[in-house]
Amino acid sequence: MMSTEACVLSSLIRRPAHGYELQQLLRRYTDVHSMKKVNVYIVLRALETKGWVSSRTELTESRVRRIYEIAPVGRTEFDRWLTSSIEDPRAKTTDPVMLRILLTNDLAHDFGWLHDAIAHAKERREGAASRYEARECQLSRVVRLAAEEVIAIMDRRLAFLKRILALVEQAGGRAVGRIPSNRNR
Amino acid sequence: MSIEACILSCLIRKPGHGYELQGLLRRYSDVHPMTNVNVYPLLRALETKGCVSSRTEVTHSRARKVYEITDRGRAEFEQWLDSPVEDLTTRISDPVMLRILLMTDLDRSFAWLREAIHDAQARRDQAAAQFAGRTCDTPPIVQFAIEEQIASFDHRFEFLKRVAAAIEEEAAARQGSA
Repeated sequence: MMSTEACVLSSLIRRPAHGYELQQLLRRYTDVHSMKKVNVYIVLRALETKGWVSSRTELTESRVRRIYEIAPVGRTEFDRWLTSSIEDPRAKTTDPVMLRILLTNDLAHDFGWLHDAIAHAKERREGAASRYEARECQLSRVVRLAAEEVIAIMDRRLAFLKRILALVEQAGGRAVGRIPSNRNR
Repeated sequence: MSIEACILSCLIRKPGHGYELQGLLRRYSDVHPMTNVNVYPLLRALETKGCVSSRTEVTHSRARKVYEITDRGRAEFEQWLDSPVEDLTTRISDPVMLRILLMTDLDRSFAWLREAIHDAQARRDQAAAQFAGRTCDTPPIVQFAIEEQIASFDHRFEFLKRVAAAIEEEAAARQGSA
């Protein structure tokens, strides 16, 4: 089972929902499982084909909407997934800002992007915090631990980026720590 | 451009052949997945653009292509470093964290958590060892970033241990009340 399918099943176990609602619910997991290219309707169709969810159409305010519900098989599959072993437990990360920092050879470059990165990190941290605060009363102890860790990771990132900015400003645009390009020739 | 930038950065340090570069790119795999990256087509594209040049070298009676940075490639790389970061969003796919967030109750097998803790520990030790040898020729800003990454592996390990401890405590409390 794909991780995205597990997120969808988990939401439907809590209660039936239509596609748009699910797409919103999936945002909860975006800090640990990137959903940028996920189309929930395709995932739902695949789950329905497998018999893990069922759907019926509902008429609300003269609009026809499809409501999805968990099927018994879906519940069993989700339970099985929860205890199955994780093939590759390592997080896969694409972090363009960290990559840029790792490739920096010279502090005389234009670091305007660093200010943007700090603003972006702040925004994300606040977004995550408000998402978890809204749900706090319903979270189990273990899930709360995980939510706190996600926010702590974002706090550490913010602090790290600020340290990098201080380092760049301290260097005052001078070329510090430049790697001589012909060193190993 | 991200992977191309990694390649150019390696070649600015010293010329290398494809296989070597493929290995060097793994350095960046914690911030940019490199599992499906094939370095040869990228090198060919960079050569077509005039950013790298190659010559054939015979070692141990085997012909190998050695790639070198060109002035053009150096300029492109410097320009890239000055350009804004197009997409500032970090994309993470963390199966362990997701599993923890989706957990419904504690009456289950947590073999996967033990495996994850074991792996996190191995990863942390591996990162520390891997970077220990690179410190002397690393600019301070990169040094900072590397330390931050090692710290993040450390935090992950500690976090997973906290989760395991919380699960055990909850289970014990429930047995006590039953």
